[in-house]
Amino acid sequence: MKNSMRPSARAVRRGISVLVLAAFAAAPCVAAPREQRQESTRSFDRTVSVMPAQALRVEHRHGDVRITTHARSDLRVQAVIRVSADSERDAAQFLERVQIEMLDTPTAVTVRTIYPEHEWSRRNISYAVDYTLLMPEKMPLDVHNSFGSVAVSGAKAGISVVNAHGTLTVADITGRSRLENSFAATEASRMNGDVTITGSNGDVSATTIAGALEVTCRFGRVAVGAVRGAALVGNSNGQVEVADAASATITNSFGAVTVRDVGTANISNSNGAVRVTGVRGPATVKTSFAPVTMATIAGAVDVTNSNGDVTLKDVSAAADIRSSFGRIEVQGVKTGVRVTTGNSSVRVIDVQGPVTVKTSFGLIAVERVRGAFTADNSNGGVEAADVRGAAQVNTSFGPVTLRDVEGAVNVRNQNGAVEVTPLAQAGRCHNITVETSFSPIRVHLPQAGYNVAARTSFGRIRTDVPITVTGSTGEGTLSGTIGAGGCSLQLTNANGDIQIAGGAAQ
Amino acid sequence: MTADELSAAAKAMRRDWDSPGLWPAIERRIREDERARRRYSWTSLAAAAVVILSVAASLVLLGNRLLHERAAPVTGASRLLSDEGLSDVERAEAQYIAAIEALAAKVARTDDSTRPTSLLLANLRERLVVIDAAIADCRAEIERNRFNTHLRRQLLSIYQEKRRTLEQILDEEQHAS
Repeated sequence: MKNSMRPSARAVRRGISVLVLAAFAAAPCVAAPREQRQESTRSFDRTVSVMPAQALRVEHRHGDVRITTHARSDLRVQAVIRVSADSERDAAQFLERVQIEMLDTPTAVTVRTIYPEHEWSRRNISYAVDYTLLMPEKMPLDVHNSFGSVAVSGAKAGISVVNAHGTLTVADITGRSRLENSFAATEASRMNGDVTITGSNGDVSATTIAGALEVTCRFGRVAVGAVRGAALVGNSNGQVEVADAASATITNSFGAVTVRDVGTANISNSNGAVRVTGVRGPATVKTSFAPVTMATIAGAVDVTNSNGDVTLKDVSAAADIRSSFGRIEVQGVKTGVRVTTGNSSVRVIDVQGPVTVKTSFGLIAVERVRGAFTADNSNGGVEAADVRGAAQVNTSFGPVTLRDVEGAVNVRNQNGAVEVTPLAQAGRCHNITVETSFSPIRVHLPQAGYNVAARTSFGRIRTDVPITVTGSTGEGTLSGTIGAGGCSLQLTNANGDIQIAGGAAQ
Repeated sequence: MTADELSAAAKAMRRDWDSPGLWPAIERRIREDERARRRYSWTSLAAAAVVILSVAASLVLLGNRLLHERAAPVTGASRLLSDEGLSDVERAEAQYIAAIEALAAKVARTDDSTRPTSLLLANLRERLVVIDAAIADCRAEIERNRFNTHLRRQLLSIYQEKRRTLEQILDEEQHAS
């Protein structure tokens, strides 16, 4: 009773915490003014002539490095050194002790930043050095930096840049480029040569690469575009996007992969979705626990998935799909389709070749197949329409409906109804064999000749088509001919009726 | 004295009198208490709302400022922080650290060593180790270079990554359980 009349102790404590936080947040606004820090700046500017064999090496930390090139043979090094301290004297003293060392050897010019030793840290000093370098365009370059960004453009003899904790941007580079970065983004564009990028915990972007591209990354997003050579991407825990490449070979996990407009695609992912559109050659995709969507593939398609849907559209060659526990949908395949899955429904439409489907516990539905159709199912139904080839179906505990089948029909079912309607063709017929149990069989025949052998137990045989009976006829047995005979019609049931009807569409 | 005698004596001692003001007085008192409770409750709610709004506003303002600073490139003039800039950054760091500590405590509570770890969780925990190493690197540099803007921003950015990673771990652990 008392508690309902007053705020609880917990609520009060919460209120106090909030007030303390508010006071904490507001404290700096009312803090007493203190003496401002003193900042000193010094500039460094030196130009040296460079021998043709010399490379440029930069070893730096705590500041940006910006490198551009020119056609001349001299190297210009400019730097701005900034120091702040509690007193002007400390700032000035530290500033004087920051050294920019330029070491000239027959093989390289090395530019190195040397900061004073650590005892200065007790004086509350802070500092940064920013470089601007103008180097000969044909001078090889090797940069090591940390805690600052690096930007390089216009180099024509290959570059190697290792950075950490700062963005890395390179553009308009000719020759081989090796880029490495961590905990910050890396961007490479307009690269006229092979490029290798290693990144971790930072996004990687590479566009307009004239050579081959290799990207290795972790925990970052990789976006690749316009690669004239092969694009090889290895990532984990991050998205990968590749657009417009001669080929795309991608390994990833726990991140989506999107590929479009590539020559060939080879993608191995796990726990991440894969989306592929516009492949000029073959495409191989492997993933798990995520959907695969592919469209407009000129070459053969090979998909392996588990616990994820597969959707495939417009493939100019054959498609082979292996999967489990995911819906399969295929539409528009030129050569043929083979699906091997389990616990999944399968839908296949518009295939200019044979279709083979194996699944369980799911419906198989095919439509407009210009080739043979083979279905192997268990505990699932099978529906096929407009099949221009033979149909062979094996299933159990599910109905089978075949409509407008041009070739021979062979259905083996258990505990499931079967309805077959062959395609009517003037003067032509195909053998029909149907077997099931505990469910009816119904066959809609075209106007053609058949040799009929129908048998059932604990069921009736009914025919709407005139049959000339031959041999023995009993309660569950019918033998005879329809028309002049010719094709075989064998219907076998147990504990179910058999109906022979006309009505197949002409 | 027997029980019957006691009962008779008690009946004899009984006295009745009129008290017309008793029930109205009780009713009035109950109403007054209700009014006081309502007034108290509304006052508390209003005070709490004001405090929460103030804190939220200050956090939003501070967050916007820091985001703006983080988005802007570090130019020469802003290469080294002012005293005011440093206090802003340190305040933001304190908030990140508080958020991270709260999340880390939750993660520690949900961490069950007897349960098999998923590949994603193993990856995220590995990432956490890498992030902690990066934080240690940054902090070691900051010890010697407290007012360096790039270092401070980089540390904030890594704290942000750590917070995201901890949230992902929590999500994944809740999903797994």
